[in-house]
Amino acid sequence: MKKPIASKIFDAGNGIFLIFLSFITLYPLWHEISLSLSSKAEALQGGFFFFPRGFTFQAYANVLSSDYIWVAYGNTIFVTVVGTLLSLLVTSSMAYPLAKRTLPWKNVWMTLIVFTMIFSGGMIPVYLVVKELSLLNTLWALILPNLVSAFNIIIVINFIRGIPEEIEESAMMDGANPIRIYFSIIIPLCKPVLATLALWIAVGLWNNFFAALIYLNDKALTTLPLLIRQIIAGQQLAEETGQLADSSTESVIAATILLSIIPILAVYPYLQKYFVKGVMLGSVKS
Amino acid sequence: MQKKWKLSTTVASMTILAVLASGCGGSNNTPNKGSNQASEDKTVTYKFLRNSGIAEYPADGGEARKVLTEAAANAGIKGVDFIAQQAPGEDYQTKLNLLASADDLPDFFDIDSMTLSRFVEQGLVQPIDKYLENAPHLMKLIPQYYWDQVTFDGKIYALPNGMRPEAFNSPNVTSVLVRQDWLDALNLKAPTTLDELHDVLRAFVSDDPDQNGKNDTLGLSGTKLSRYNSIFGAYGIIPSFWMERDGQIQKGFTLPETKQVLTLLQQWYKEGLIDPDFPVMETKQLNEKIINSKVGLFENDAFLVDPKANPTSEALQKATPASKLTMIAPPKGPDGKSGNPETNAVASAPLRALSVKAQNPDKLFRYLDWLVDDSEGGGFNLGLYGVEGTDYTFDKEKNLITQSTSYADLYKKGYNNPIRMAFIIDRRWTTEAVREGIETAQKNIISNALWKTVPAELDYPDLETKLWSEYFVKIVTGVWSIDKFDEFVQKYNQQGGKQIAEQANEEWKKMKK
Repeated sequence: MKKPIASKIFDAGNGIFLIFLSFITLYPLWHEISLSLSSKAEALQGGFFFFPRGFTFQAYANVLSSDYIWVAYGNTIFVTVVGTLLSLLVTSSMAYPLAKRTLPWKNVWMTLIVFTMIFSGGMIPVYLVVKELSLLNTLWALILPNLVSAFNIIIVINFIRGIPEEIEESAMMDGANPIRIYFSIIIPLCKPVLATLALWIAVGLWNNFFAALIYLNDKALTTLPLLIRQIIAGQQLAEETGQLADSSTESVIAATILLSIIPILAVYPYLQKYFVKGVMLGSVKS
Repeated sequence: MQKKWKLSTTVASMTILAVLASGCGGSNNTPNKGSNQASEDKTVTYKFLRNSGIAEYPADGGEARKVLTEAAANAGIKGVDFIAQQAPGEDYQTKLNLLASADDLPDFFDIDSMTLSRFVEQGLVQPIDKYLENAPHLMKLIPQYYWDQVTFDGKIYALPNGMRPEAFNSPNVTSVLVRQDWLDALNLKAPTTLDELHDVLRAFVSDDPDQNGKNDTLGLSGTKLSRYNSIFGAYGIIPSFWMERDGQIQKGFTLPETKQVLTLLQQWYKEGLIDPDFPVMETKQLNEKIINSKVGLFENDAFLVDPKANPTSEALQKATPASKLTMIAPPKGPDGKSGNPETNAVASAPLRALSVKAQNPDKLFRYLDWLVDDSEGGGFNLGLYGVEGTDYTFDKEKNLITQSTSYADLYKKGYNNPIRMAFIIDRRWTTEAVREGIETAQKNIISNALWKTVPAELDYPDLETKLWSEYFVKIVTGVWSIDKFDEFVQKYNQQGGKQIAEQANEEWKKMKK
């Protein structure tokens, strides 16, 4: 079958357009990579970076030589992993009963949950609560206050409603109690939605700068976003006061950005397959 | 089956509520108050909080914490210990507010002037006058007009940064920088007046100063925040400053001189002497233009004359080895006036305030005073540069400090920053070229009649940042004719400028007494 000329032109145009589109989304990342590997003088010249100019690892050496970068990594990984797991557990166990039509006072519970979506206490009351709970200056201050999000609960409720009730009934006839059903049936079936939420929550916890800034004081508790901000501030200070460093602020910023996004980028592909599954589950099955 | 559901969920929700309730009730908050009646030598651990980003600073304070406290003890200030904590970025003031609302303020902390005035109102910080009586070095190194800015109802509430007496330690380091090699290539002299500056700019733009055969050079450049203060200075004013006129003070940009300067700048812009990109440029873009030898003249800091003291000029030298930046005095105007704006070191650096609950403030201030004492046994050099001989050497004759330990390593040992809770600008490590540059920059200074921010300015913050910016850029670039300036003055006064001027004059008269 021969394609008409117009269609060919359209395909070619389409291809070029899409390549251009992927280039402009990819270039910023590539720019940062090149910048982080460029020498100081070259990095400051600016302009387009298709390849590192004056190749050097100096910026990475600067960032990684900080004694606290590994402490910060450790703390951030702890907060992200523990926070995500706890958050998923609490969110799904809250959503499961609420997905049941037979739950007594269901509307009351739902109203209470939705209420938190619309109204919040504000920063100072939240801070005081965290303080009164003796969570200040602990990593738990980054995890517990925002453990459950009403929005996430609603998403999981909707997902669980899509699971046929017959599955649960058959399990119940085999003698499983609600707790058992929740752990052996609901959670495995919810994997797609939980993976999606895990990604949102993990990225949020990984990048959480503000909470770390206001709740943490001890250097030993420093997290990655906090330390990166400090490194950048230190570079800027050095520039303002005329102290010369070995690498430019620009490349150090680029290097820290890359170091902080690489772990999350590495997790992404493994979770992404559930995204696709999640969409299919919702759309194809009746 | 339904019943089972009901029962288990009710039990579950009850349990959750119970857990929540018990969690809220328990509070093991034991305030740790220092007892004032304890003997003078008892060790007090002061809690400092800085708005800084020294990632290298060790959690335990490193070597410096021990060395400094011991040296202070030898000088007679016994029993001082400290914990220096930091929080980086602009959200620092938010953190401070939260600490204040939770009654958790550290003993001595960084603060900006706006937050300070609120803290004073709320009684969160205490006046430091009586402690300063025992701090002669601080009083000597911090000028009176700095103290004035942190004085509320006649009492001093914060410690500003000071500076050493040498001219090169002046906070005024900004003037006009020119590409000396371009001047040499075109056989021109450094401009001293506006007319000469005009000719130099024209030559830079049209006579191919970099001799690459391309018409790719610019004259005067700046960023979107540049107001070309040195050109205004040639008419004796600085747009954002309060200027004295007939026993009153007025904002510079409402004065008739501003119209003259705008006319001149508009003319220059039309002739192509000013970088047409300036209204949208950030510092980074300007630096790129400087490094790529596109710009011949701009306002910046004296550090740029030494490629070893500034990354931008270092990169410029790498890209064009023959390049040379020279700092020149601001150009003279038709009446022989000239000047750069006075730098307000109080506004640009954090202040330090003392919490009302601070432990033994008297000892703290004696320690801070020791920290800025540069005589034998004082802590000045020790705090900033580490141990003499190991970390630095001092050449008394040249008044030059040569550091052998890099700043990163100094920070790792715990020196310099963030522990400089009292800070005096010291540039004894700079080269001769930079010192000359700074001396040029600080010679012709136009001062601001009033530095204090009046309440009306906070009520109408857009007047200066938006309204003035818009008229400045649009008139200079020729979008609007110069006659629009009168409309600006009228609008400014109508939209709150009059109130600002009234309050400012009131403050100014109070200060003059």
